[in-house]
Amino acid sequence: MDKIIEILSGIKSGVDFANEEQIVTGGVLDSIDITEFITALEEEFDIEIGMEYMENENFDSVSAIWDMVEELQEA
Amino acid sequence: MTVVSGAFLIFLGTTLGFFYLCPRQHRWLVLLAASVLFYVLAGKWQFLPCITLTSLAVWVGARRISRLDAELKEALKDKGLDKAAKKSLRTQYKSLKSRTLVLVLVLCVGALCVTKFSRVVVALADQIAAISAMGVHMDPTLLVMPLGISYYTFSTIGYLLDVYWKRYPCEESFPRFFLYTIYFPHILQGPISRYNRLGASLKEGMSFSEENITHGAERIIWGFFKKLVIADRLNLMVSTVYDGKPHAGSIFLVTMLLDALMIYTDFSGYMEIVCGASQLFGVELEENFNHPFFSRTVAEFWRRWHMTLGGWFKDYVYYPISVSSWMKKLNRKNAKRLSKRASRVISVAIPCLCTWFLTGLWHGTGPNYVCWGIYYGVLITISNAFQEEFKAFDERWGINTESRSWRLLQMVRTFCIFMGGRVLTSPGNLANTAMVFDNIFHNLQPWQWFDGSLWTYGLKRPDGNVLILGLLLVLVVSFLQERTHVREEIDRRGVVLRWILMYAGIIAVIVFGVYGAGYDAAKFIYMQY
Repeated sequence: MDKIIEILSGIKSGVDFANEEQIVTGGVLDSIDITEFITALEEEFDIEIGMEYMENENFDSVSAIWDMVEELQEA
Repeated sequence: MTVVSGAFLIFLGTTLGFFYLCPRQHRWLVLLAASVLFYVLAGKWQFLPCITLTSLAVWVGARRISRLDAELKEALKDKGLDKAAKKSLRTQYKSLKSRTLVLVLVLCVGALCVTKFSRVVVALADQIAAISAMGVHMDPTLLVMPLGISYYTFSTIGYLLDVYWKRYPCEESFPRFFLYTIYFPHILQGPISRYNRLGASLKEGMSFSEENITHGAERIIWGFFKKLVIADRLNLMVSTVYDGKPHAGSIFLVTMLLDALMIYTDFSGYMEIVCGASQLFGVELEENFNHPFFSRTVAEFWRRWHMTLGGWFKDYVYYPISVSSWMKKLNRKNAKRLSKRASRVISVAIPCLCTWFLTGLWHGTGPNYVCWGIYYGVLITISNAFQEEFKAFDERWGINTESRSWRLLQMVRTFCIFMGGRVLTSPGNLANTAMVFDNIFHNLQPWQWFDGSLWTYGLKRPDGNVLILGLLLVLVVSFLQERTHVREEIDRRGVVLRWILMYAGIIAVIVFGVYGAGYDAAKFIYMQY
């Protein structure tokens, strides 16, 4: 999870991502940031995020992102 | 029938009566019948087969996709299958699903394109016929578009793609799905609703609630006020000045301002009416506006203006392009041969420009709409690409970016950019846009603001006073809505205040609404899209 926070902080500094529960729905990251984040996430964890995962709830908190990453790694 | 008419209010009242008299589990049938009737009354009965066929194609396609998913799931349970066999099965089913998706998309988008581009093609054919002296005249304005086709095509395509991406299960009942497509509050101008939200809301079986009735009625009155008192009054000057003829630059400048305010009060007024009407039935529609003129950047503006269209393009165009395999391949290639920054800018620019180009085409097929789309695509790409420079500029000059004055300046800048975008489309074509700018730069005549000339373009001085008061009211309400829930606040202050406000609103609409000769309430700006 620390790696996810590190990537997120690299895209937008000054946000307490560890405790943020509305990363997308709260407008912390916009659609451009999200695509940048996905590219970094895919490279870091060697996964491919398909359109079926492109939902706000999968990106709204670090724990939700981690759950998605784990699911994709297991698939 | 338009939503700003006595006929609509009678229709709404009658539907409401039948709706609440009906047993709860059958209420959706009342809405379905009323929606079909509204669609016929608002347009022509000949449009009905088009929307029915689109709905049917999407419903059948989504069911087939869902069935294929279920079959694959079942087939994968076979423990005798090795990894290669499972992969082959997945590929086989993916191909079947994709073929179904593409077929339905071609049908729906094809129907939309034919209706949208047929006028352009006919106009071109007419010009060719005129040049070659064939003696044939074709009038493109005689071609009519099925009512709400841009909106219902997008809603249904969104549903189909969501089912394809397994975001939620498909709808088993066609009448229920058809109600989602044709639901009368959203069929003409949106909001472009998502099936998982509106479909569920329509299914739940709506019970009577006094709060829904009063809040719904309040929104309808507020919408009538925005449309009839402000937007239609602003339209008196805007339609007079944007007549294709040259006027003083000072008059064009005022018209640019009024036009921006007009489209906001017109479209948001419509949304207040339809969201209020839907609330009367206990069905909540998605919001389309969140005080866009308080936005500090263009990107923020488009997250607050026509939110359901922006959300649609983000989810079904921008993201699919951004995360597509060819885009990822290109990004990887660029990362190796270009600087980090250049690679990042390209990865943002391609999906952004494609999305805005299509957004422009959605609004209109003329070159002015294409320019409009590119205008926003380029602006958003630039603002993203030069983020570091903008930040360095702020630091270099010691600008406190969170100060009130700076925020206000940013809001004014965003509003000016929006006005600039409107000038690309409002005057009708690019030649007229060029004429507007030519007069602003070479024929300003600023004294026309003070010598009374301003009041000879459709608006009289008393209209100006009504507009100032009306727009101030909208501004104050917007400020309050940014900070609190205004309607709940009114509720807390008692019934008397609520009724006073409602009656004041009705009287204001009756007394100050624009109903003069030549007035056409049917013309909501966003209906043409």
